[in-house]
Amino acid sequence: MSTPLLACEDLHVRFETHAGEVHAVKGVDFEVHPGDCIGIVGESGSGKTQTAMALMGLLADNAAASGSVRFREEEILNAPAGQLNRIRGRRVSMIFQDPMASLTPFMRIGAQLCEVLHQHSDMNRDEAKARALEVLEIVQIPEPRRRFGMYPHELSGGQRQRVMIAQALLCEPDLLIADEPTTALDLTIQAQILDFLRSLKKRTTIVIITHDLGVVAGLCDTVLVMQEGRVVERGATETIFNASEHPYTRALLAALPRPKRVQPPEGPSIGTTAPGKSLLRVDDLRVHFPTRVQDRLRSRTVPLKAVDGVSFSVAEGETVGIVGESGCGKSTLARAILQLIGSTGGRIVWQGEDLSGLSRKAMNERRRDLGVVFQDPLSSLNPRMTIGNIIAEPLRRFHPELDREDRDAAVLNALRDVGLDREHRDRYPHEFSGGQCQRVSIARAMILKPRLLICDEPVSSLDASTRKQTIGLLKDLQKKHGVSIIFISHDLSVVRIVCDRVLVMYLGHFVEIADRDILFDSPAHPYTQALISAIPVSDLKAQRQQERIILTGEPPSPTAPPSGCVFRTRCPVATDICSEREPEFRTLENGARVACHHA
Amino acid sequence: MLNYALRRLLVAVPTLFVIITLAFFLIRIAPGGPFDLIPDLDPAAAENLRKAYDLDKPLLEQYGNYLWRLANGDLGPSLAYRDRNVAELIAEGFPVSAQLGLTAMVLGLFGGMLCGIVAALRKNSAVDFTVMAIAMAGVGIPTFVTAPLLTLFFGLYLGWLPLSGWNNGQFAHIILPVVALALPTLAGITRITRGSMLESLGADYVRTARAKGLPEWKVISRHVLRPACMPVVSYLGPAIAGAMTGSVVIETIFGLPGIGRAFVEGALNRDYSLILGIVIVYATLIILLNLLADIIYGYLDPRVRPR
Repeated sequence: MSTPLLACEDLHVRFETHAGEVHAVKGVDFEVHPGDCIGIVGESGSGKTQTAMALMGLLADNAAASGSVRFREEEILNAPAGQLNRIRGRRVSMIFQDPMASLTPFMRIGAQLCEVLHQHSDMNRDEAKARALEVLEIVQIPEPRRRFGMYPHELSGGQRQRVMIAQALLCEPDLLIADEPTTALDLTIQAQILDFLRSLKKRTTIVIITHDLGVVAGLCDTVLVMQEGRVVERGATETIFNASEHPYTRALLAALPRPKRVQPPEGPSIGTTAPGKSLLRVDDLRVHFPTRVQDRLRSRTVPLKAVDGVSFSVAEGETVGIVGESGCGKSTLARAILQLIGSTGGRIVWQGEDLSGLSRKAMNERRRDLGVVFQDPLSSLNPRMTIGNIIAEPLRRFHPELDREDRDAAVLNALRDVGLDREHRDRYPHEFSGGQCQRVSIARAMILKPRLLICDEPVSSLDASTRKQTIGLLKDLQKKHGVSIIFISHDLSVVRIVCDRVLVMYLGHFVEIADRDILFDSPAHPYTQALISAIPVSDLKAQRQQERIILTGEPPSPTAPPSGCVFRTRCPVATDICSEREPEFRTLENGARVACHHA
Repeated sequence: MLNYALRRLLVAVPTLFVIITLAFFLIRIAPGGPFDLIPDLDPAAAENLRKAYDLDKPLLEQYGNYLWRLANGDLGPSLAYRDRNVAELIAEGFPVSAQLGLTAMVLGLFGGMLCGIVAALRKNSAVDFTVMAIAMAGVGIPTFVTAPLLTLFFGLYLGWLPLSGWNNGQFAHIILPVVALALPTLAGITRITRGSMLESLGADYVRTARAKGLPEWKVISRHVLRPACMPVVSYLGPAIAGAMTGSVVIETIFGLPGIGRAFVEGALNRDYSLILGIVIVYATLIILLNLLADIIYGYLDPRVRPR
């Protein structure tokens, strides 16, 4: 057996905090051999990231590491910075989770890249620039010369992550450590980056840290599963996926979506009753924001078309999912329906009445029947109000006739409905976990028994296990109260569990509207097909056999959408007609409605 | 950037106009007049003086006349120093005030940043606690308390430095006033720098810089200092305004012949045109220096750069 590239023995990481010592990593051992591709998997708080930081001496000031980390036989744990700096960036480089936060915002891309080369080699300016441009080519950044002189905020999320990867590859490191390299990215961009990392396996040894077993499935040879600071299971990827022994691993696997056509999702979707009469109808809704752009010398105002002509309806008791990547306009759509922002055109008909014509006062009366749950549970609860007061606030507004006792009783009822206790009533939001806060948000939204609940990415910020519970809670509440739900998410696997009908959104337009099973089994629009093929799934064989459609490029700017079909710039089947005519919705034989010339 | 600066300067014109208008009417509300302090002035002579300076005309007419003359670049005659005009008085005092203010700002800015950086890099050490305790005192104790105390100690008790006077800006004479004037700014900037240094030391991109294998001094100088400067730059605007009001106090205490002291005397003498003249100088300076601070801010952070 060859000598390991990196050997980590009995690694412990402890944090000094105000609340006492936190033992984040409790004795982790592993070895990385040249040519390996290892995945370290666990939920947030499992210690996986702190393990990686400890390896490279990047722990926070209040952390202490003990044990042993050897890089090519050389002990580097707690080594002085001078010794580490001969290895960091040159022999071992790292890619971090959030490329916006991890690139220095006020330094040009080129300067950040060349800095590494100047540190670790004796290249002069021109040689360093040539090398940096070469690596930018390797990571497939469009127009590397232009990007070289740009600042990070001028690049898209996917391009920034490519710059991070380029920065890591500059000195041809022996080992690449990637900490959640795709978590902050959209599904189609995640697929691009994963595909690229797969191609890197030939060049270098890789350790990937992720919460997502699906990411590991398509990439790694070996997997370590971490839970609460310990490695609970390790083995070849096949073994872990097909014959895992540890219950925690199995729970993680169970939280992953099933591959398509292998098995239908468990149980019926939320709304099983036949759709009743129409509750909400949205007609050709447009929301444009005026934005200023510099045009040579003068600046002029152009509309940012966040939502550009969408129509759909929601029936009583129905759950409608709206999926799309960030920036596609799905949250704007939700806000426009709630009249939290004004619309530019079109109609929103709520129970037969056009909402956009109503006065503020009249609109506020209608809010009784419109509940809403936002993405970030903590920041959407007032930090200075107790949980009880937060939940009771809608009652004070709409049922002033209730006396204190009745109101308390209603709040306790609502708390019980979402699985919280009576004692939670007098506590403040910051004392709760993300999942509990989201329960409070749901209780607040449901206390008036609304007829429509709009959930904007309600589970995106939650861990896999909490996510499952929260979805279960929404299902139960719907069964109990018969509320209709608009469920907005970028996560197709969640939408698949929750929704009756799915609307796929791209750049302010709907491209496909279909019943859930039809959409997932036979997606008609090329964009839907790409999204579905990019979902990481838990069955390894399916994952590896599944034909992946990797979209090139990134969504265009909504200030200058392409002519004709908005998707044509990334569409694998686009032809001339796509740029000439905007496709109209057609109904297919199976009932799906799709806006594509070629579907 | 040039466009942006020009636009900001255009906006400054109406701002100045409002300031001048407010100042013009505010000093007229104050009781008394410019000639009340002249001993044994008989009423007929006073009336003649008022006529000579157009003070007998209706207030609005005086206001209109003042604006008209101002538009022609004339700040008018001084009402207290009757053989001089306001422009001459300002031209005489301004170099003194500028030297005092500029030296104090430079000392406050660089001294404060240095203290803040050192405190942040030695976080929770004895150095940190000492620096921060002094800074706390500097923020809390007003100039009119520190200035006499400094004079008492270094001037009278130790006898190292002169007590007052300008003496053509001789070095020994400007030390105490500059230090007294710089202290609050220095203290404020120390506190801000330390806070922003600690914040930017914890940023993700600083971790990236360390992961690149850069030595600590490069990490600090390239990736930490610049964002740490930004709150300091936004503090510069108010700090400059503070230093200007501070200089009024300092010049009076140390008896320096600057426009700050002229301002105080003008106010006591009801020298309307002198007060207005100095208000215009102060307001223009504050507007210009704030614009400069915003331009520096844009240079430091490309994300807020006006396009």
